[in-house]
Amino acid sequence: MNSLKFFGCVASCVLLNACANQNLSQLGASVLSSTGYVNQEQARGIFSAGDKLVKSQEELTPEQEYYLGRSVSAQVLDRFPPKLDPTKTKYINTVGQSVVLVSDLPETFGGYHFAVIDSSEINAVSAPGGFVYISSGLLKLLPSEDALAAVLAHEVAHVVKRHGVNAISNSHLFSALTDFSKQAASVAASQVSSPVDLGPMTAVFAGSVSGVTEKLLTKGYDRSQEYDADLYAAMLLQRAGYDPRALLEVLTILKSHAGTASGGWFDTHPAPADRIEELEDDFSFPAETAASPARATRFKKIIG
Amino acid sequence: MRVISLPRIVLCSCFVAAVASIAHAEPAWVQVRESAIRAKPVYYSPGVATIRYGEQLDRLSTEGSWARVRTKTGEGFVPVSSISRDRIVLSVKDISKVGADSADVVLAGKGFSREVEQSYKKENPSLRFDRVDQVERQARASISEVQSFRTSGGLR
Repeated sequence: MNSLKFFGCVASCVLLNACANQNLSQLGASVLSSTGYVNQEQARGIFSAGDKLVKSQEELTPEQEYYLGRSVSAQVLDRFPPKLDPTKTKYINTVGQSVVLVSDLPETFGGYHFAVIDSSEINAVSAPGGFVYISSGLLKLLPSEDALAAVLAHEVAHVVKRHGVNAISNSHLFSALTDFSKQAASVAASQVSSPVDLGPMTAVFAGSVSGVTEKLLTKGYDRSQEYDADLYAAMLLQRAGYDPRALLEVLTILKSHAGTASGGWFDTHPAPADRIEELEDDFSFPAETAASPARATRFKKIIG
Repeated sequence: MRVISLPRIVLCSCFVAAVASIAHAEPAWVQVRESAIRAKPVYYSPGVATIRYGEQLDRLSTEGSWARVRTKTGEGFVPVSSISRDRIVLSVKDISKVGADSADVVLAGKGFSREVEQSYKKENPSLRFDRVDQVERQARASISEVQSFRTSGGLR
């Protein structure tokens, strides 16, 4: 019975903290000590454990980015199912990995995953944590492995630069994440097996998933972020040994479809002509080199 | 006058270097699910040990985007972005075991986590998480396969 009362007090502290902005330690200690089972000092010690130890979050951890990316992916794949041809999938993943391994974020929590999605739209998107999707409509237009690498490199750039996560990063999100961790730590420190209410955190999570998904599929990133991703993609292509001019080639192909196609990249990205102009201004392209026959052969064999 | 032999000087130097190395080691924690410590600071170098989320390492130095690290099972290089200066605690039950040192603590599995994903799935039962699982289960090339792919395609 006593332990039930104690359990109830701890749970009350947690709930009260979720409803008010009052400091968890002070509030929890007051309620707990009012039971008479522990004194005020002991109670303060129990509840300050989580406060002192757990870091105030200022950014998502790689693990948190991964779970956000999984749910954003669920939204994307709900609308556009993946086309999981094993040979094509492995090829696209290997091209993607060739670019990823020379990036500044070569490993994410759950690893990078590249997949084709079934959509006639000309589109490619990436979710936090390293989920990269290219539409079958865009894949059909690509003339070479270098062009495929260029599209994937642009999406990898958004992951490395955390553009998706930045779209939802704000002080409210980080204070909610910090409070949630401190609640969990405080309950653990009290050595009482009490479930933490997942409702408020699930609501914050759902809002974040919606925010990122809307950016990816409807609103698009800021123009400066897109130009930044193009520039970083050109650098990744060069580092990996691909021809960075393949990105200009992709943008020229998009430009030629700009009058007839709609949706996808045309709704969420700056005009291809503007992107070409920015990229030519900002990146020093190397002298033209002969295309690799080996890459041309395997691209034709696998992608067609 | 007593003469110190060369082997003794070398031995002492090694001892001093080892002590200095230990003194300069900083604690770090693995922040990706799994990675490898590599013999050299390049991706295609052989792995000398596997490291997992939350595992503690000694960070000895930094070479560009690679950190030289040491664990009980091996010494070598990992990407700087794969390790954290924040102490990663895998279970809230272990929070009480954390001593008072300078490292900040990050609780694994809290906030945006598997348990919150489960709660979100319950509220959105029609969302296709099965497709996400399919994408994650796809066969991916190993590092040696990527290296072979790069070589055969004339990539650097």
